[in-house]
Amino acid sequence: MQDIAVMVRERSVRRTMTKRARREARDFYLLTLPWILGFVGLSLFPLVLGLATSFTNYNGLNLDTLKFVGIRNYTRAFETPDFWIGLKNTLWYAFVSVVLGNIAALILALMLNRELKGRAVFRMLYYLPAILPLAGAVRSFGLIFNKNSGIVNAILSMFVPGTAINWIVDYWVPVLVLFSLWGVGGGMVIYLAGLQGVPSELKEAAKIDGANNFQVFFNVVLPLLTPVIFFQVVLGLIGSLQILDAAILLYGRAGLSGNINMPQKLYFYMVYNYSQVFDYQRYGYGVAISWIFFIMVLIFTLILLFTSKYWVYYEVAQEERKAA
Amino acid sequence: MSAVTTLQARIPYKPKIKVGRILLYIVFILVTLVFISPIIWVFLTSLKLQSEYSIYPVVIIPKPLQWINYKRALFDYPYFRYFWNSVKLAIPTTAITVLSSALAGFAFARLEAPFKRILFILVLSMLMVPRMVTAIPNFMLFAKLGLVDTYYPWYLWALSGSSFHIFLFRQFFSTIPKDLEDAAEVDGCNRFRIFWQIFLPLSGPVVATSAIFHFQWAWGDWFTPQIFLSELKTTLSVFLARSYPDPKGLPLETVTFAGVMIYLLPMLIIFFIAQKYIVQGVVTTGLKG
Repeated sequence: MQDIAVMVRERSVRRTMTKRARREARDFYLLTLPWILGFVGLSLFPLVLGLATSFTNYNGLNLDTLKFVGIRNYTRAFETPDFWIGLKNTLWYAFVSVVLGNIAALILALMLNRELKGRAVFRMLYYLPAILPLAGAVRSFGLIFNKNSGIVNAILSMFVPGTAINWIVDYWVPVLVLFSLWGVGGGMVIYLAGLQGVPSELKEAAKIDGANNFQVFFNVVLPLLTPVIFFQVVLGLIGSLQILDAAILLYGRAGLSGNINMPQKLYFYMVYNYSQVFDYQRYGYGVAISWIFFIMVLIFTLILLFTSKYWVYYEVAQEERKAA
Repeated sequence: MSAVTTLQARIPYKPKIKVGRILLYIVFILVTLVFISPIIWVFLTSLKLQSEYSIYPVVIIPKPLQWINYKRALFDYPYFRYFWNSVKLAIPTTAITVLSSALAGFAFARLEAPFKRILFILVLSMLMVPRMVTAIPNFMLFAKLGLVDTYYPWYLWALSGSSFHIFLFRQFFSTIPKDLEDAAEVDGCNRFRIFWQIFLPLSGPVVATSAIFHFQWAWGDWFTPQIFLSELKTTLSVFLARSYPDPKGLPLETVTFAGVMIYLLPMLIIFFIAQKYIVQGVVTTGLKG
């Protein structure tokens, strides 16, 4: 219905384009001009420039000996072991942190979505880590897992005296997954908002029909939350695949020049990409692997988008069905 | 809940409720401890002597508390320079981003224009572009323009707004009834005044949410200052990524963590003042999608 109204309005705008409509369009472009200029100058042009660079041997200084190297930068990536190490660590980090992160966020939201004294305080405290500035959050989290001065080994030592596990190196990906879970409060708040949008009549109707709490959750609440889950999974995946700062700062040996001297087996995709560009000045190769990454992200997003019709519940469809 | 349903629903469970409640609170408190333990541990560590930093058994509460670490973190090292750099980077960036995103969000929510839909799809699709893909050529570009090692790249990015914030504002402004601006238009207000005097004042929680998220990013970002700024211009996040050296060049961790505590402080203060608005902002913008 709404779509039809919009279409009708758009058509009439196109036909007549009254003075008023023209003024409105002018204002629209005036207000969005900064974004449009930024999009063209700081996104679109760099994307094209980067893509062009990825087919050359550019290293930051060799403009006069610049050579077109075809797709060599791209094929080289697939022949480099570090590339595959980074990719493997990244995929398993992103998958585990997105899945566990969303489950944990949903559980916390469900726990807090009930009448309970002190609910606001708990909500605030669980949310707190999610708004810490990244660089400080990583330093703090790294400290509790420190081999000699962390509280984790200190607590374990109470049961097994002398525990000195080198968490950060030996449990590299799991510790980073835990770090991402520390920020689960962000997702929790969004799920809480989603839960508050579930009409209570629906839940009560289901209960009157004899559904228990689990049935209400899995058959009423969860389907209504799937759009929120979808949104969270897509953005969460795009974000966690790009893990970079957290890894570099957690390893904690960014030298004075910022060069990464992390062992290769700990690489993430973006860490590898970063070091190729900014430690070794391999711009052409670096942009090429960032484009491989971009294409990968696009494929993941498209897969999620196309499978979403099988598991994401759209209220609009329901309304249309009702109207028909 | 009405009295009748309360009776129906509650009576059979009444004996269980008390125990359940207590268990629930125990779970809540345990989770709280897990969530805040890193911050408490940083705080305790920042009050230790360096010789207490990594001894076995681990010192939990140092005696006496070394408050002097805070003084040393601030005054023995160029802390204020980097603090000021962070301020110069983060505050204008946040203010400009919020304003330009609000303007664009307003336009997308309230005005009709040819190609609007395509533009909005472009705004959203920028959320999918990994930052490395644009960061490398942006770096090459700004290096050519001589803007590396200044804060202008941040201000320029801020001027063009950010997809996420444009989306936030657009969602919120879409919910405001049309009559409001019609009345203002009849009174002869121009579009900018309608935005400034009607829409912006209504969007307090969204402005707060958007500003806090962006400030958090700008204050905590390590990657961009690391590649764009030199040793003297860089921010606290880069400065504190390494440990302070003592006169022998060994890392002075306890003093560093005092510095980390002070670095976290502005965000903690903002959070405790504004956390109500953030939650409200997340709800009202329908961040849920």
